[in-house]
Amino acid sequence: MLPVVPSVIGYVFPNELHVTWTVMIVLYPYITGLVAGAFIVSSLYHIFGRESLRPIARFALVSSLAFLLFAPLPLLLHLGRPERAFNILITPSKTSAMAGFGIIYLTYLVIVVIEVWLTLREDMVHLAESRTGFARLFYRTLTLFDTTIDEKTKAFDHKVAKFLAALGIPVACFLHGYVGFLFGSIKANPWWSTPLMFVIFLLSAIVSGIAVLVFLFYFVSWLRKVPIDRACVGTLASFLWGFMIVDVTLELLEVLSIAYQQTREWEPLQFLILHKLFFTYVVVQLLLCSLVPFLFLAFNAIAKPREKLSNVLVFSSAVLLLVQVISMRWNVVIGGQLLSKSFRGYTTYVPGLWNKEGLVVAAVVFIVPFILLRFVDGVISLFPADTPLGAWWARRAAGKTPAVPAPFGT
Amino acid sequence: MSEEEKKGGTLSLPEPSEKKPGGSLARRDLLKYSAAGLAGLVTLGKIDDLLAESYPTIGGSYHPDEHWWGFVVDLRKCIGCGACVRACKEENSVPDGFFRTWVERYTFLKDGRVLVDSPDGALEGFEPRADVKPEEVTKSFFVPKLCNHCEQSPCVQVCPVGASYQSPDGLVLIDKTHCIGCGYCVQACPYGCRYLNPVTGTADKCTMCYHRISKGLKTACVEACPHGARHYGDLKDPNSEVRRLLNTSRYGVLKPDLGTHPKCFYIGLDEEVV
Amino acid sequence: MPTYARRLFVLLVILFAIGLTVRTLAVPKGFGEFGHWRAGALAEEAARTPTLQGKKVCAQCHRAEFAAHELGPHVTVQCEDCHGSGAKHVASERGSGAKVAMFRHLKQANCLACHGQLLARPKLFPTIDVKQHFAEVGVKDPKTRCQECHNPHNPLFLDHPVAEARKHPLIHPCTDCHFDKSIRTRPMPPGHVVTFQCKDCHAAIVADFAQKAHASLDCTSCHPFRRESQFSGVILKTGNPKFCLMCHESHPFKTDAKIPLIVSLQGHLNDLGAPPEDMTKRCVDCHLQDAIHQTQGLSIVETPAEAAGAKGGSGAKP
Repeated sequence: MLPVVPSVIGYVFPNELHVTWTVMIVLYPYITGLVAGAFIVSSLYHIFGRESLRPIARFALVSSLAFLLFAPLPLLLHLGRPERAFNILITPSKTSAMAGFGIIYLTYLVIVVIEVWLTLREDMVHLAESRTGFARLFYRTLTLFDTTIDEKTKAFDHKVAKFLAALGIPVACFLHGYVGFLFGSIKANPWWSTPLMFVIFLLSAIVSGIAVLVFLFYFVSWLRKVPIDRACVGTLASFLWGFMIVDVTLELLEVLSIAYQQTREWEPLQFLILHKLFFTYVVVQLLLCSLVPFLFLAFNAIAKPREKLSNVLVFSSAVLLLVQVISMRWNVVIGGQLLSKSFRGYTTYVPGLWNKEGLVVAAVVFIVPFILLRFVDGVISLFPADTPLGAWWARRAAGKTPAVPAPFGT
Repeated sequence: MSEEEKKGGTLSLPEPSEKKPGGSLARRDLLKYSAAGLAGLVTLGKIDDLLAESYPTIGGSYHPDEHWWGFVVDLRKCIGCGACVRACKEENSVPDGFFRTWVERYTFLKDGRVLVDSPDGALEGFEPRADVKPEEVTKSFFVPKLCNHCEQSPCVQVCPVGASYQSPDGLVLIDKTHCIGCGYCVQACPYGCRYLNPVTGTADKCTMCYHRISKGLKTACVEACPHGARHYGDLKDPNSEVRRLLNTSRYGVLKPDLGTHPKCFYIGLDEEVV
Repeated sequence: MPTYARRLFVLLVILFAIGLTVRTLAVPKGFGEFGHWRAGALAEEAARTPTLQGKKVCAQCHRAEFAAHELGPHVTVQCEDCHGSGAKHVASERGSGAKVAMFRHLKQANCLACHGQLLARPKLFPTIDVKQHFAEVGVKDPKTRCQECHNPHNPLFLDHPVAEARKHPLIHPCTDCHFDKSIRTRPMPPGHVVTFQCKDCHAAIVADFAQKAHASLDCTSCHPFRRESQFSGVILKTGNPKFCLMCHESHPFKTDAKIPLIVSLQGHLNDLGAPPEDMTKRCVDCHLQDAIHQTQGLSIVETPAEAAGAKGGSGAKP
């Protein structure tokens, strides 16, 4: 099963030669980060009244749900006994940071599902009334066979959605900060053990969530040949800029404080950073994917460049920050396991390609939520009807744009 | 708060007390007695049954509540032959490349460097180090490693499903029918004593040969040790071998600053050993 | 509350109730009885069958080997350390298990796993430099297996169990305190503790031994000393023909340049025309006086004057 003998520097406990947490555990906090980040974006509109984010608020919420549904998948692929996964709900241990997963996950799932349902309810009712046959039954089922829409229901939906959005923010923060806590609470591992881990994971989650929405917004607009909503993108870009500054500052602060304190852990950690993680941490995470987008976004915010250049800057920053966050996950999850708990040596991790926890499966797991989003888009519009993208959907639904077929047809 | 918690010292040896460690015990006792009192009011004569909260006897004669197992390694005695590692593999069907116990060799050089190695966990013993000239060495010794069966074990703490547990006799064990194989305990163990068993898909570790010591046999590694470096025994028994060794020699535990309160004690431990 | 909201609420409550019921039913039996774990797991762990059985079980069939083993210094080494799992061996012999290799100990390397010279090995543990040892005893073939001369079950052919060996005060070589070579070449300062050596008590014997053929050996070559504590150890008893033949038996892998070899004890006795009833003779019965040392003063009941007199004339090794 493990034919590759890893190259080892110094002394590593014999059981540490095999890295236990693989690329799947890199992917899991990445996906939950996207969940939390996307939810925060939708809340910026729903709770904090950022009107310019209206075109993307609903899309952000549904994206959050799509990522949420697949967040446990990398975990299941990683578990030695995936068939026993529900034990985490059946006998959760009070003392385990990980045992909270089931409860927090389900709470958040219920909140997001209800909020998405309420947000999309009007559209579902309209679709149920305008279709026939199987499609009608499908949409009627989605509405729970109650198609009333009046001022009272509108007010009710709005009130409840707002309440759930407000409730969802702490839960989303908790869902992701808690993933950081999973690592931060491991006292055996000096690369993980820091109270900052909670905050760093949370902020990097928000950065990745905003970045993925910027990416998708550009991508969908480009695909549908619809002009970019500059106001929406501008707001997202400034939030992205702000959050990435705080995020990267904290990431640096964590390392700087260990470096400055010169504790006995620093010597091995220094080697870890400068040798084992030099490329993924120093080159990718810090220089290429933090410094460059910082400069791009700062230039975009301060110099107000032409629309075309601005689009290039914001889009490439989003892509780079997406890479920044996954490399940060890699550097934490994998990096922490490369340093032996003997503090005397380092092992190496090379992910497999085709095995259960290999790169191909990881790529598939990562892409599946996007496919789900595409699928949902076939059923219901993810953008408000009065925005360019929403109007495009309405035209397609009306059969005027046959380019993309809808799964449940006319 | 229980007695064990109050002591709080890093190198404190667990006293052979009747109490089990853990903060919730006093509360549990309280609950037990109040429940018994309540039940006594309702059904008189049932009190004895309710008070009997000791683990049932295993195999007819072994009472888990009467023991508190510990381990003592005499580092001055270890000859680094690897017999313990082979015996453990044989006894517990430990898969290739993983270890419930292993032996490390520490080599101190005149230039201040400390080299550690453990070729294949010392499964086949040791060869002289090829990269070190004998005249450069100041001192050198072997260190057998195994699960420390910590009193405050981080691995039991983090197990999300209660598959890792501390037994009434003080051992950290795994319920292999309940473990989901998440690997969190592997990350939490500061000593590298746990691994995910690729055959069973569950976490795996030293059980201090529970299936042997509960039958009155020695653990496989203690039995195999030809030079008396390994000792296991009951810390509750004032006349046990481990008690005698701990009472008469200077010992240490690994990584005491982490507050795990290991129950594996090393006689003649060097500061460099982690 | 609108109808759809009520329906959603009811749906959620139903799902929650189902989830809770399933969860409650799925909790394993006995979980939480003695803590947050399944109580039965402990008894299951205890119920596993041991694989290693210990030497007493092996002794039930292999009586001769066990008897020899109990006598020698390997008494603390379990049969299974060298031979592997007893249970698997029995299963294999009865045809109910896979064939297992029982003789991992046949290679030189397996003896050296314990007795090879390593810096990390405790100083008092007997280790050997094979090259040097082979040169001393005249072994030509460097691949010669240890058991050609040493019986692994009782490698020194002791006359009595190690456990019953005679207590003996500690023999202190200078190196016990002076690990550093340089200090040993300096003259001993006045008032320095006189180290406790064989000649200090057995002066006459040591003096005599120095004149005989075996003078190049240490006393401990034939009287192995085993340190047991800071203050004392045991002197092991040997001297049977097998012990002497470890060095003096002729083998194809040996050269007789240094040590006089005999082809076999039987032949040697026949050559001497010894009567059949003498076939059990020990080598020392004939050779003690001429080749090893005198027998007077074997016990240490000597007067100080005698000891002092003998000390003056001896150039004996410790």
